[in-house]
This record gives sequence, structure tokens and C-alpha cells, in this order.
Amino acid sequence: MLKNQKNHKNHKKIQEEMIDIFYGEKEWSEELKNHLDTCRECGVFWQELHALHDKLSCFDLPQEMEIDDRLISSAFKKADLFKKKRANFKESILFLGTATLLLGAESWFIYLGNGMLILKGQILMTVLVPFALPFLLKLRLAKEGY
Amino acid sequence: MQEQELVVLAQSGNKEALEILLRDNYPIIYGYLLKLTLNEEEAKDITQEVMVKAIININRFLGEAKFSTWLISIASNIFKDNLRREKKYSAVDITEISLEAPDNVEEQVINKEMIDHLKKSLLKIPEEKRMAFVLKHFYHYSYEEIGQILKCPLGTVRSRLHYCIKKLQKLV
Repeated sequence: MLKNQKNHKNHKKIQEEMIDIFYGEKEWSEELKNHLDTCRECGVFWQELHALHDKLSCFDLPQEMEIDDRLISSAFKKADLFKKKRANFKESILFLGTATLLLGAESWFIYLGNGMLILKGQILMTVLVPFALPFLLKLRLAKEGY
Repeated sequence: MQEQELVVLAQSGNKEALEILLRDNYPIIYGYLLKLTLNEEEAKDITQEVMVKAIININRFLGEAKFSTWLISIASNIFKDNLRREKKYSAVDITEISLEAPDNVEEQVINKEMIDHLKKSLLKIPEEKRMAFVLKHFYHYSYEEIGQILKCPLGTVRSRLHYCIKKLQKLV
């Protein structure tokens, strides 16, 4: 009984080595060759490996396979779209970073007690700049000789 | 033009070179995914995803392995992600696709039946193990290369292949 179990284990190990040999991962050793010549169980296993290989050959695709050009051009379009999105994302992050920095600086000035100054500055910017626009335009035109 | 030259050109922004590389490797990638998924729709879908990723990340290809190996590695990762997301596809399967079809009608019927039976047998094998088997059996990658592609140790690749062979021998 014990001998049988040991034998079975031995066959199993040899058959695993045979798979490695079949797939070119190992070379035949003299010991294995001799075993294959005398062992019926392992001989059948070796034949079954070949039979399985033959059966699976029906999964081989034709040598001249039709290439799906639409799929490739669509992949290029998708990749371009992705690259654009990634560039937009980078720009958004940059904008967000700059805006946070400016807001942070402004908040810091307010915290230091310069809130009124900033408020006045902002009012001046929003009210006076539009009023000053015609004047600035006139100045520019004069500079260009009109 | 050789693959390495095409890769260099593609990495410098030459779209035509990249297109040639993708066209040359299309049969390998599509064939691999077809054998893996056994579903035409899923195989095409993943092939396109592979190409998109290859176009975006072409500069990350270091040229240590063949370009096809890099693409197969991307395909394997996408396939694994899809499994995790349990993406569903319709049942247009590999038997509907024109494989190496014999001229004889009788042979064609037998071939179709055989493919159907093999397909069912392959589908009974867990995907992770099937991937190792497909890479070894159909693409003749070494255990080491498969380990790199699937990001698993050599011993795992070996045991997965052995499992598949034994299972298929029982089923087929």
C-alpha cells in the first residue's frame, strides 16, 4: 500500500517534469528516458500531451488575419482625447493652485488687519477701471498717432 | 524598418511609426485575447483598450522585451481589471469567428463542434490559470517571461500550467 502511494507520487512528479520538457523548459535526462520506456502510465500521459496539443491546434488563427483599421484609428482618436483631457486637468490644477495661493495671501493680509485697504483696492479696481477705459484708449490712440 | 527603429521613431512622436507597430502586433494581441476571453466582442474591446494605453504610454516602453510582450502585458492587466469589474459581454463567441477553417463542409462541422467543446473546457479553467496556459501553449513564452507578464513567481506559473494541462486532459 505504502509502496503504491510512493510509486504514484513518483509518477506524478515525473509527469510534471514531462510537462516542462514538452514545453521546452527542461531537457530529457537519461533517468526520465528510461522511465518513459518502461512505465505505461507515464507513456500514456506523454501521448495525451501530444494529443491535447493537436486538438488545441484548431484554435490557431489564420496566418493572414484581417486587421481592423477602424479599431486602430479609433484607438488613436481615443488616445488624443485622453491626452487633451490630461492636459486640461494639468491646467486646471495649475489654475487651482495659483488661485489658492492668491486667496491665501489675501486672507493673510486681512488677518494682519489690512482688510479695509484690500476692500478699497478692489472697489477701485471694479469701479474705476471701466471708467478709465475710454481715457486709456484715447491715450493709446494718441500714442499711435491717430 | 526594424522594430527598434520604429519604437524610437514612435517615441519621438512619429504617429505613422506607432501605427505600423500597432498594425504589426494586432494579430498577436487580438489572437491572445480571443483565446483568453473566448468572446469576439470582449477581445476587440480589450484590443482597442490595449492600443489606447500603448499610444498614451509609448514613452514608458523601455525596450527590454519585445514590443509584442509589452502589449501582451498591458492586455493581461486590462483583462484582469475587467474580471475584477465583472464586465459583461454578449455571447458572440470564438466558434463564430473564422479560425483555420477546413475546405470540407463535414470537416468544418466537426471542427466547430471540437472548438465548442474545447471552449467549454477552457472556460472551466480559472482565468488567472488560463492566462499562463495560453501564453505558454500558444505563444511559447518561457516561465520567466510569463512570470514578468503576469507579475507572479516562476513557481506559480509552473503550477498554473500544470493545473491547466491536467484539467484539460481530463475534460477534453
